[in-house]
Amino acid sequence: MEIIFQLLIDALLLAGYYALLSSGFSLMWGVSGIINLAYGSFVLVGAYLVYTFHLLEMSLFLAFPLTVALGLISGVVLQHLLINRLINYEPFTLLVLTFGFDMLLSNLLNFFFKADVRSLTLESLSGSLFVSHFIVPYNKLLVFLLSFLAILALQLYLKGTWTGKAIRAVSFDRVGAELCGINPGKIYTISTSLATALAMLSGGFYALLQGFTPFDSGGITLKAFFVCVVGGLGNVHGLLLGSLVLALSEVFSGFYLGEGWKVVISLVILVLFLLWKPQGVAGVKYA
Amino acid sequence: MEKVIEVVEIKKAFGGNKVLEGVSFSAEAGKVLGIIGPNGSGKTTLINILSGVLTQDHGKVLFMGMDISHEKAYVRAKLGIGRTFQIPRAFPSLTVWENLQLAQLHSGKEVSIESVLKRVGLYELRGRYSDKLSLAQRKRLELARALMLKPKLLLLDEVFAGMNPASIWEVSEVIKGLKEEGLCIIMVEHVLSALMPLVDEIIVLADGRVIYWGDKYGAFKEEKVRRAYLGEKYSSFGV
Amino acid sequence: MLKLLSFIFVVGCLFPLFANPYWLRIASSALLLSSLSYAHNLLFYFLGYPAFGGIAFFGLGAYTFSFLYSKGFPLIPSLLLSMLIPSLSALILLPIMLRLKSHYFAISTLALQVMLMELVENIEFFGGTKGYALNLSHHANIIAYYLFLLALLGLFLFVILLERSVFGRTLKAIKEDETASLTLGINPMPYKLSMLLLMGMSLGFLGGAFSIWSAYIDASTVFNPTLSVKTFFVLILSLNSPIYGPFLWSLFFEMFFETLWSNFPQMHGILLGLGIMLLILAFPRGLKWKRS
Repeated sequence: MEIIFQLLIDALLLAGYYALLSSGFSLMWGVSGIINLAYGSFVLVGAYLVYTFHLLEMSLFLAFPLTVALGLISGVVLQHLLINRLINYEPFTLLVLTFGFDMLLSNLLNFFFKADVRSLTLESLSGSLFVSHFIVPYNKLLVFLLSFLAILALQLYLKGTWTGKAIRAVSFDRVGAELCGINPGKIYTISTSLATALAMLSGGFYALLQGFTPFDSGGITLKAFFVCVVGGLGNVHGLLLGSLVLALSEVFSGFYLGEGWKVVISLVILVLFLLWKPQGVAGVKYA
Repeated sequence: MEKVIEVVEIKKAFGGNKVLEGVSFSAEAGKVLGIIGPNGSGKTTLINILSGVLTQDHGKVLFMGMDISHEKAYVRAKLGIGRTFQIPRAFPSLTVWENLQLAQLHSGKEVSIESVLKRVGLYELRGRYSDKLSLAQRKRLELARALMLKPKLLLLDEVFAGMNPASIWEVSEVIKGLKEEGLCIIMVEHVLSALMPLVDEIIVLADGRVIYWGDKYGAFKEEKVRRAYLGEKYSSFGV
Repeated sequence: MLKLLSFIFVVGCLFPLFANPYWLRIASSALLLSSLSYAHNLLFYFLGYPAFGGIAFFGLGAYTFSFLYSKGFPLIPSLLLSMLIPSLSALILLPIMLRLKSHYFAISTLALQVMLMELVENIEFFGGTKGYALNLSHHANIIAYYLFLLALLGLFLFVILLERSVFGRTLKAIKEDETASLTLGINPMPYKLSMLLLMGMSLGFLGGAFSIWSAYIDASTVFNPTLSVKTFFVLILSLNSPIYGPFLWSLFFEMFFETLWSNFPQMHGILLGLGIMLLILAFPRGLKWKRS
């Protein structure tokens, strides 16, 4: 019985992180309608950036914001240089573009960093908090708390600021938003750059949580995709729910069935949802 | 006179948006029924439900006395319900002739492509690809394609929109001819000047309800109809 | 046209007699890739459904064949079953196809493929991570070559026939405007069903043939998304030439990347990714199959 509680704690901590991880992907998909297959690569770029900055003795208090800033810029570049060229064509073309881009980024990362597993282990975060019999590793706890704050900030931004509201308007009804004077092109750029910034931020956290290689990108994109399909697009409830389902499935299947089965089980769940309930549990938009 | 189509208490909502809130009417063979109403009143949704492209949330559709409420669109086409679309949807990779040929092969009916093309005035353009046609020509093509089904009911969704007077006159003549042959025709229209000479009865749809069903001359004498079209402020003017 | 085809057929049949193993391998790869492309095109070009995860059926075929053959089943029945099983499995895609949105279908099939890859790897009954090593004759390479050639010719002829037939025109009408097709009395179900079964069947066959060629298969090889990438790379290039395109582009692709890979092994992935991006940026138009 105790094991189950420990697993639940692990799942909760992981779910918080997955929510942040998927938030960018969800934003891009929900607002611009773009399924960004290169999302995982952006996350890894963030991971490698923070890792490199740390290696160069930069304080993490500087490294993280810098990475986020670079994330924002790369989103703008992505939107203007690449995505906008295909925005008027079939959505399929953007899938192909982002797929190729993912391949390019992963292989570039491999070229520069090689495929060795790297991670960011900090002495200050080693060890765990002990809550009665349960173990809460410090790094996971920190990532959970920071992810929580980040999502909160994102929600406040989307609900409170004018731009945030404009983003939500465009995601619901592009034409209607346009008629209110909102420039959708600008909004797409903002949401894409937010998405890549969130991706890189979660990449930094990824580095703190586990080892990574350039070829993890597919798996990461898959996780974000899972959260969006199972949880649903368009609201934060879906994001949290999807993340929880993913985390629970991974933690429990990993423990009871073995590491190898983690991916299989989540894929089976994903495919089932795609076949029968593609809009997810709490989806407001069509998935 | 036999009722070709009968519609009973049709309701349809998209999410929270109630588009049709209890629509009932019927139409007979050899008659033209016009459906008019302000934008957003649910006219195209109604046509989509009649042709089977959409399913109603509530209510029944009866065709020649049969309940077709849950029949799929292609079954309805084979039964003899033909339709055109507001924005014409001809197959761009096929020529005019091939568009009709495809319809002929799937309708199972013996209709001469040549005669239909000559009737709508597209015979000379039979070899042209449909994406190279003008809007009016594409509308005629859709009409011709629907005729290949040897329909008993023809649903025309804003067929006159964007046509010049000469085309309107020609297509009106075709419709008159079809009416004489006993087809039941339902026309959703905004171009009232073209519609009025053709129709026998009119339905006015507003906010998803039928606010008037009857003689065409009586339509605009009704306070309700004027209010629906012109708004509260101006409904007491004119007529 | 018929003369050209017969010429290619004769050349194809005689090729193994002159060619050295290196060229035979490249030719086999090219034949395999073209066949994969034509098979995927049955659903993509004719109906507008890009089955990104079509290789799932290729993998199923490979595993079906390898499983049966390694248990003592003779070659031909194993091959036939490797066509049947994936074909029937393809039915699982039907409900997704009936939902219309094509890019969504693309992702779902890819998820299915990756799922199968991970699943099969974890199940010991199907060889687990070890896969299957087959005990084949000395001439396996040549047999595989002829199987690939057979598949290519069969698919090629089929595509030509389809392109000219009413069935093919109906398929394209459904692709261009399903709603309008419905109102003409066309029931899309049997069309979607038949193309799905045919695609599953051809890909399954190719999977079986691949097992013979490779003599060893495992999940990460036969369910590999890179195969999907290569196939769609060819298909995008062939959008405006669905009949000769897949064959010619596959040939070019295999030869080009063979030379590239042997000379710049590290750059392989980078160039492929870049190539895909440049391609789609240059030819998005080709993807607008509505001719207006």
